[in-house]
Amino acid sequence: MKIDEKEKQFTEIYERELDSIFRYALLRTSSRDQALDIAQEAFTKLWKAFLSETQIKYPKAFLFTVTRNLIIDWYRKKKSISMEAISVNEEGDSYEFVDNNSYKNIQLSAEAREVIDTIRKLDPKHQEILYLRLVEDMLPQEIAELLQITPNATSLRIIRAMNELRKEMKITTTPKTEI
Amino acid sequence: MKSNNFNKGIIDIKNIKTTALEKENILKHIMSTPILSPYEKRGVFSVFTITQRHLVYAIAAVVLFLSSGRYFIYAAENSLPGDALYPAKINIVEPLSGLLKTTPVEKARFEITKATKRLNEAEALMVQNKLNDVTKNDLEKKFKESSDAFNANISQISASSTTSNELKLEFDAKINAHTRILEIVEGQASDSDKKEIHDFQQNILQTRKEDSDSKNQRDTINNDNKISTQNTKESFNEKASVVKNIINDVHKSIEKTKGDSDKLHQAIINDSSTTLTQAEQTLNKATEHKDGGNLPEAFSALQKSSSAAQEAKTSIEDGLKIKTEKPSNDNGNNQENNSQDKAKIDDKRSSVDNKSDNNDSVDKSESKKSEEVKVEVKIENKNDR
Repeated sequence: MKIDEKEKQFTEIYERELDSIFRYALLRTSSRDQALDIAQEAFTKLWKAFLSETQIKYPKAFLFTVTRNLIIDWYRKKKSISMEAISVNEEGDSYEFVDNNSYKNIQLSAEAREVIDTIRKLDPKHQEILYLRLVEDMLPQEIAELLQITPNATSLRIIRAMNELRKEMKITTTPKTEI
Repeated sequence: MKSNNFNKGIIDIKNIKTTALEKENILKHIMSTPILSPYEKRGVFSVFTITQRHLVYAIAAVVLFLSSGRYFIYAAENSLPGDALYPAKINIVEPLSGLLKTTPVEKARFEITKATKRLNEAEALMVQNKLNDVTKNDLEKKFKESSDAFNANISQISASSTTSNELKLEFDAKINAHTRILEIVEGQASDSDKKEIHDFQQNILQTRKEDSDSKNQRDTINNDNKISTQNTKESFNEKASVVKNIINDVHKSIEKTKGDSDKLHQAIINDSSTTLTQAEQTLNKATEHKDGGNLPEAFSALQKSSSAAQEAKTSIEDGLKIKTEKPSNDNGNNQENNSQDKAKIDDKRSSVDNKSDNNDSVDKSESKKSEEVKVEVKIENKNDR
């Protein structure tokens, strides 16, 4: 692939995914500047991957994976927390950081805060998958790539997550966003 | 939480975005990051890479060889008989240098250099008390080989040529200088070494006498004088200026040795100074003869002056190369002898010092007189040849 084509493809992905990455980082770092830095770093890595002609099937999943790792690094530096403080599920995946105030420094509407509060009440295994599904509109395949689990396992988790959400919200109907 | 609020909340979260400026700046930073393009990278096995890499290696190898070769040559050049690199000096370095000499004149000069080196080596070994019979015989043999080669090259040069005569005089001047150095070394050596040094000196002189046809040399000098007269005063002035330059150079060299307190070196410097004085005096006489219209005598004196100047120059250049520091580590067998010899030399030197302390002015003037006599005798001897 020629350099111009690479640049074009990258720019398309950039335009499409930057806000998602930024948002994801912002809700976990509670700092706009830090979120911007993390986003820039994540896309820089993607650009490097493009130039090295690395085949990336799911660029979105790639970006989120990189962003997660950058957030973990940032947390380690900032709070000097050990690996144990990061919630890890039975399969060894890492999820949301245990930080109750991460979103309180962000200007959010009441409804948005309520959504985040609701999601945080769920099982840690379901929190991220729901966020990625409901907020970032990621496909099960993309989520599977990100979480390094099978697509079937991803679908199953999404269903379980949605059921738990409904229970928490005390609603019988499924929220607008469907599996 | 109601479903509508939840959905609105999701939409509000989705509206968390970067500004247009932030988006633009981030992209600008990403694109300006220096990342090696795969189009610039070369494969490990690409021809260009291999060629470039090999070229770099080849250049590095040549540079390394030249730099290490230079050090090798330098180390070999300064080696003495018995050193590990001495065979390389004799069998590799010197023959290689000889290959560069193409004309008989260059080859003759090269043989003079080689012969002189053998004398240098002998003197250095004598001072270090390392000259044994085997080494002495070997050096005498090598000297003879160089002397023979010198004569062979000289024979290819026209006998009437001034160059041939100049080369002979140059060789003789160097030998004379080294015989003087050997005498000085002998004077400061132990009794057990004196005979060895004296024998070596005599063998060298004998070799030169046998190899060089002294009668022919005398005839050549006479012929040269006749030729010089044909060139009249212009030729004399040219040669006289050359001699003056040599004298001036030697004066400068002697000036530089003022800090040298080594006794052997001091003796050599004094001897060279005396010879230089004679060269100046003889040059003055030659000029007087020229001015008086006696060109044959003028050229004869000029040649003597030239020989004396070259002899003084050789004494200073080669004599001061001799390192008088004896090695600290010797074989067990030689250590006792070395200490005894050193004691003898020290005793001798202290006695000399005592003498000089007691009779300073008298001894100095006497020694100077005796040296002057020696020089005069030498010059007379040259005239007899």
